[in-house]
Amino acid sequence: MTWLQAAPTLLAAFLASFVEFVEAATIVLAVGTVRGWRSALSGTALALLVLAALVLALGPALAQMPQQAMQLVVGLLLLLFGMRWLRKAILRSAGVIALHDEEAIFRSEAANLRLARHSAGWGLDPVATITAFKSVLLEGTEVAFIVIAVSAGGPGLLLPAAAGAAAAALLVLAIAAAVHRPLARVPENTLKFAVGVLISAFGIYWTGEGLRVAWPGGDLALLVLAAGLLTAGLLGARAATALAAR
Amino acid sequence: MMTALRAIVLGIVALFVDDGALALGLLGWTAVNGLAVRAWPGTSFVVLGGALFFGYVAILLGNVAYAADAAGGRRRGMGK
Repeated sequence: MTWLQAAPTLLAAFLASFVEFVEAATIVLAVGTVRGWRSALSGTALALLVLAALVLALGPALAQMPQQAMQLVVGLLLLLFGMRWLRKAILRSAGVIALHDEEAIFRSEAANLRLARHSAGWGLDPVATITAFKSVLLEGTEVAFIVIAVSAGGPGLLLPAAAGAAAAALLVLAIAAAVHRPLARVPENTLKFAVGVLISAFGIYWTGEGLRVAWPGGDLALLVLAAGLLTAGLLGARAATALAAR
Repeated sequence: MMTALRAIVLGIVALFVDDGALALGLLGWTAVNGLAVRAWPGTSFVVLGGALFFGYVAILLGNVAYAADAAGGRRRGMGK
């Protein structure tokens, strides 16, 4: 496997996972700050265990599927996932829907957690543990899906995809531990735009493979699809801005 | 606990479907292309790949334009 094959997979997994980890970190930080770190970290650890079990159970099941069916299923899921992000990023950049505000989410979550009743069982606060568990499980499921889906092209691609996600986790963990605040300065919409473009490109590529489209240039077609989607996304943002302002 | 479980299941569905019309459009276009491949095997990649890509892009941009126009309409309505 060459860098040219591994780089798009690594980059897509890193960027997409980075956005997901930032969102999970905001909630875990709110839980830890308001209700205590013991319950926040317990909920996080429990969610990671459930995620590991899910990946271990579903991974081999996916490998049993016929290759063409798997390409089509993974391609469609990536397409739905990527286009959803791209649509939101375009509408946010056009000012049609509000930008994702980590500071506001942190404040809102912290206010809800302050109001919730305190009760402790086994030394843990159930409200805090479940809130952290739910957040990490949801965002983690997205990360697991992204890693499995972007590496569907071949057995050698799981390593760069997992490395991208792991690097994103370490980066978010390091920043969150250093600043102890939500990562509000991350240009989240720009990242989501880029991730939407990359994931949608993977989605179209694999859906096409599943329908027996022989893409010219093999994996290089991914770059052409991504460039086309980027152009369409930027044009779409300009058109949406004009339509919303009419 | 059930509320949390329900939120998790809904959250997983929402990973893929945020706007129903967009999801239906994408799945529908894939089905049309799948049927076309069966009806005309041997269709060149230029036709099939181009149809897939430009079809998906048109569905996305159409959906974005509709949402932006609706938001503009709401603003105009509030301004009256």
